[in-house]
Amino acid sequence: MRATAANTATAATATAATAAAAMFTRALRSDSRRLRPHLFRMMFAGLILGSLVVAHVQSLSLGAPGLFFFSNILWLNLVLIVLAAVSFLSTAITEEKEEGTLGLLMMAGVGPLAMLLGKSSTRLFSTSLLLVVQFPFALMAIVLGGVTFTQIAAGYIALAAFLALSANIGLLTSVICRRSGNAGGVTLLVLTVVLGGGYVLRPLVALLALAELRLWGLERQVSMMPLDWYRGGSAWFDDISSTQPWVSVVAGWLDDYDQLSMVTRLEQIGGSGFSESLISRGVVWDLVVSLVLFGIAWWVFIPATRNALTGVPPRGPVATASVSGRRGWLKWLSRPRWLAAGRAWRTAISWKEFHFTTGGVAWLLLKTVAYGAFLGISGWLLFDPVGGMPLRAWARIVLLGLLCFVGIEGGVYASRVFHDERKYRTLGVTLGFPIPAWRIVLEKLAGCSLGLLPALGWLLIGIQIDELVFWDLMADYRTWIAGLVYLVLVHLVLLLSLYVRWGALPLAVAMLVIVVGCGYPLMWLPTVALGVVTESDEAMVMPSIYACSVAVAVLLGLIVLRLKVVASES
Amino acid sequence: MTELAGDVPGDVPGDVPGDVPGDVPGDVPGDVPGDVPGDVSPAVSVEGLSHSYSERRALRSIDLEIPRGRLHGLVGPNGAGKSTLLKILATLLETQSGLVSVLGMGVTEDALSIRRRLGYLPEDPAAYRQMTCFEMLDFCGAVHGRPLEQRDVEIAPALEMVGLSDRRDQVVGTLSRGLQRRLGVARVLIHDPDLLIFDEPAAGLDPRARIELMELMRDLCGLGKTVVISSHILAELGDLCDSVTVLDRGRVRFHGMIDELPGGDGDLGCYELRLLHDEEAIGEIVSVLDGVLDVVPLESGRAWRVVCRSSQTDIASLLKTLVERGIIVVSFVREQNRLNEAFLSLTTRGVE
Repeated sequence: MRATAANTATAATATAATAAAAMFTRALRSDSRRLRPHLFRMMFAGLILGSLVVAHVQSLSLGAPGLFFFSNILWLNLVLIVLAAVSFLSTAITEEKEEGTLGLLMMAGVGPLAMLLGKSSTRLFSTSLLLVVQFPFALMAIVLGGVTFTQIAAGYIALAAFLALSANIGLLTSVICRRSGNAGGVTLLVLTVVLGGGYVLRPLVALLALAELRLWGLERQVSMMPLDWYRGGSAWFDDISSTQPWVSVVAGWLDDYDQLSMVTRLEQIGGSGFSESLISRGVVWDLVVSLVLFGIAWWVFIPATRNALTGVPPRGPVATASVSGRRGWLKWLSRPRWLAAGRAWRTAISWKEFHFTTGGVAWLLLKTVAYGAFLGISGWLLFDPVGGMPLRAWARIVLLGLLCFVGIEGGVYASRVFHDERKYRTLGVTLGFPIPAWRIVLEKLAGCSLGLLPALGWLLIGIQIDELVFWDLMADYRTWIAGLVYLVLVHLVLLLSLYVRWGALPLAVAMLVIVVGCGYPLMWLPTVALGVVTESDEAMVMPSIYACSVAVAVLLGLIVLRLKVVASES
Repeated sequence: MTELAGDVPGDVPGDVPGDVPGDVPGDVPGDVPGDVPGDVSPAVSVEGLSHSYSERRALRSIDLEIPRGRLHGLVGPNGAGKSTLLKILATLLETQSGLVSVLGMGVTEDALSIRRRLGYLPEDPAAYRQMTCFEMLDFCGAVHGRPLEQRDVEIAPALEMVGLSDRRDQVVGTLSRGLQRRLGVARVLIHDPDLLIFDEPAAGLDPRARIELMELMRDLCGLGKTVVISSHILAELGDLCDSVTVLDRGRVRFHGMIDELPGGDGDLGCYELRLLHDEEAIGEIVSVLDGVLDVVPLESGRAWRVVCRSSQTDIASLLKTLVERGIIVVSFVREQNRLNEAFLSLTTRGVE
């Protein structure tokens, strides 16, 4: 009996290994045949080579240019790994769910372990090739001076361990989430906490401590959170610990975590005089957590994917009984009729986007409450005219916070406008309607804009807290440049979503960071020159307006051209 | 090749654009190009149309004309250029050379006007899978400018027509592929178009739905609409269509009435073989005989189509072989549908 069970287990393991190997081989073949991954790797190697040239030029006036060059590469890689995790690694399982092929794979005898190994290892391998391809260039930093081989090896070992951690965070989220967009968003959130560590979590702890103080009426016993909490935070933490001992315990944990975090490690490796071991505690931590996350992904695979085998796109909170009315009062209560999409408007494409891209009335209400809560709770916690934060500082936090929400929401909608239609192959049908392509795009954007109404509404209210903050912001030419760059970003996201299957938003952000990074020196000179000559901030915006206008026009043209191609392919 | 214009049943009073229900509100008769009272221009007119994808030529100088009110079939082997032609007619693909007019309007300059009066169902039954059936038809009606009251009247019969009345509030993504295709048919009918283009409409449908779809197309044709169907199921097209275009490697091999189809070289024969029991190995047994070109299963292992060269195949010995192997033959009948034979004689094997 025992022998039979052992045989069965061995056979199952062998099947899983065979299936995983088959998927791995298929992915490798497919990767090696496609031009795009090779071009991407070549582009990345080119970027490193460019950095090398810059470092060489800097060596004329800078000490230890090798260290400067190597440090830049480390941070660039960190950004790349985060982007890969958000876009590429976190969609391993969700794309199978969305395509409805997960059930087919399971029917073909590919079990959870084989699927997780097959899907994640290929993507991990493909991403790690990016690290491998640049390693020879990184070694040249030794020639430039200021870096030892140990430093370079330690740097790449740390990056590889962090890549494994990011890949498994992405894998777990892709198992749990139903949509690639959600998986990417959750992965980004988790990685922000993992990388930010204490920098991100300390303010949250502080806010919780503040909430407790407010609730118990103890706020007068300690000084309130200082405006520069992020700089002098530790002193305030000590102060607040006198009334709330748990804060010091958590602060201790956060300090310990900061020692392990990737950011600290890269700072150490990229600094001069590095003499630690190749494999740090942080590397071991990353690898152990990776294994644990993989185990959890395996454990939850079946329950988490049980309802996602059909590939039916989710409707979100939009009720289905649009006209026929109630079907049982319990059902009606959970999805009341007014949450249904109702009848299509005259601008039907806007109707479709509003309900099926932004989530319709239900999400509109939910966001209205959430943003209102943000305004109310932040005021309750932070605003203290006596000893803490003044009205103006609170108004600034509210304004910037809501602007961030608008920006994030807008970016997410832009990435979904065409993506969902491409994924479900309806874009050809939509483009075949008797409406010009430009109007389809406009109607889509208009529908998505309705989803922004809660954030914009609360923004208007937030402005009333202290109008001067708003006008100060408007008077700053950098605000306008940021707005223009955001406009370019939205168009870039729209365009990329017509090409890539997932990750248009992070890819657009990465492209824009690189383009703005390279273009900044070019734009800086005319911007400052105009400012000096005209002594006007408004004039300083002009070069950016021209550059962004040209970029938007080009992107719009490319979008329309691409739409025509997609329509003919359908 | 036969010129068809003018001699067709579709050219009847009432077929005149402007009278037809496909003219959506807001489209004042006469304000749409091609929508001229008394217009007797063909539903589709193609002159010298060529189209290439990179280095592959999909269409090579095609000329054809489909009069209004006609039920027209488009057949050809894989890669013959059928879908390319249909996409050009549906204004989804821009013409590279040649003149194409649909309902009297040029596909390049009047694309939007054509789309208002055209229903195109692609091979892949793309559907808005998050919506319910009702929402999808409501959406498509609204996009075509149908007012709310009109949609109220039109959606229920459209769902009824494709047998989806009891699924009106079901999410489209949860429907089977066949039901999604039926919904696709309802989608293209919702704005009451004058010209309907179906690319492989019967793919994925069960036999009953397929028969109902064919009947529906006949009915639509009877209402004065022009229907163009691309299909691989030659037997059904042969029974259904008034006229046919046979495409092969981007060229028109035949364009004309079904009755005028050439009978091939007279040597090709299509036989329908019916057996008492399922016999999966029939292909292996028959295909080795002299002159047998193809053995295709029809519905199950009991019904087969045998294509052979009459001059080389001894039918008696074919039947004798089957009997000797203990296979009980119920019937062995030469098919009267000429489209099969014409298709085989007009087209070549494989794709370019």
